[in-house]
Amino acid sequence: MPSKILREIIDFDESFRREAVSSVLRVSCNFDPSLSYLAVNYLDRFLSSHGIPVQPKPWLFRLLAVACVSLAAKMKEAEFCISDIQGDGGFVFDAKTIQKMEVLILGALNWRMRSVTPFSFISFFISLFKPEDPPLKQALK
Amino acid sequence: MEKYEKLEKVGEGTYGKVYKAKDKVTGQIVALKKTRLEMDEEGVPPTALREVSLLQMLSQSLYVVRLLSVEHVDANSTNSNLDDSDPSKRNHTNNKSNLYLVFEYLDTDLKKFIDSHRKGANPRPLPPSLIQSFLFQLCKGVAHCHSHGRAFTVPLKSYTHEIVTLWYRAPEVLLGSSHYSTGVDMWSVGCIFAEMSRRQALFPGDSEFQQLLHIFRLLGTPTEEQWPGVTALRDWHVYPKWEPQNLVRVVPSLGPQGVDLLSKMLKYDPAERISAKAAMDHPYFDSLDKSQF
Repeated sequence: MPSKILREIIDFDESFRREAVSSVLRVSCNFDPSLSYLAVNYLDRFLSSHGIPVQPKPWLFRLLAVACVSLAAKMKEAEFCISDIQGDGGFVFDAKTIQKMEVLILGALNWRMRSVTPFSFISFFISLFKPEDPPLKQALK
Repeated sequence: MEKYEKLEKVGEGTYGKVYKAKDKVTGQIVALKKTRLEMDEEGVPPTALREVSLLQMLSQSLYVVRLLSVEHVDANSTNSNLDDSDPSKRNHTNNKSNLYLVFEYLDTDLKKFIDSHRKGANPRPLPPSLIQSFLFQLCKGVAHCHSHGRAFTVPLKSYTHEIVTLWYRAPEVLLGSSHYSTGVDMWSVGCIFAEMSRRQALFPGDSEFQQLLHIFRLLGTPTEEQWPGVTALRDWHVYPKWEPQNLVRVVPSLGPQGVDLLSKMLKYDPAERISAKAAMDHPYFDSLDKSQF
């Protein structure tokens, strides 16, 4: 029953991804949402190129999330410090470990980090509006 | 990195060294740009990250140097022949690692090419048709970068002040504007255009101040009428009032269409400066067979 096996693999992948995404969101909750989105983009692309480990250790989600968020923050020139993004959650990784994970992700993504996300279009659409109210335009930005 | 056999060092910049190397399997000749990654507390440096990802995106064009791959070498695990030349580095294994950008190898660059026509046994001008062809390819590469690099960032943000080699630096950058845009590149293209025709730099300043004076002496000291807002720029001072000179005097062999295009690239007001894409449609290129590009 290949379809059943496939189903199991998908279920497993989905639960791994769900776990990893929620880890990204927790790690990046103090940033702009576009940064979380970019980090999830990296995560998905990494998982699809690298596959999912058979028996993932719980800290793996966390490390993956920290590295994806760190890369996204650097690409978006956000002010941050590695210690900001791994405060709670029980696992604290040293700089070398995070960097290794970053390099692993960069390699898997072939250093293509300038992903276009829906957020990339927002400023474009805002510039098309001519709101009567300048403070409103300011707020939209 | 064991994949490559290092042949010779071909350059050195602030970022690191550039080697000519050969792919041991395919025999392909490549240029290796070595960038030292200072492994501080924050992992992969943001500057390296942004630069490489930008290159990765732009080098799809035939008119932009091709980035073939990116190799990361962890100093701890290194035994590769690339580091043999520098035994001191092997003692520094703790936090140093290197990033190698593997580029297609190009045997010369425009600067060297112009020099070879200025100096040596047989100094001679560059043929006008070659200048035309080079300028078109340059505009094509710049147009590619402008259409990809800046997509959707409509509201301009401020950028670092220190960009572009002094001689090719646009006046708005020299005057301290932080909201510059793609026009700065077109200024540089104009300077290079003139340099191909003259075989020497158009504005060879040796300080930011001298650079501005070089520009003002040729193009006239800018006025508010010509360039609205210029006197409000951060580093604007009162300068001697020079009258604009005729551009033909500095590029006599360029011809009227060439001089017209050059004058459009060297407009003071960045908003008035010609774009790379528009430049490609300028009558100067009418006699060029564009189908070859």
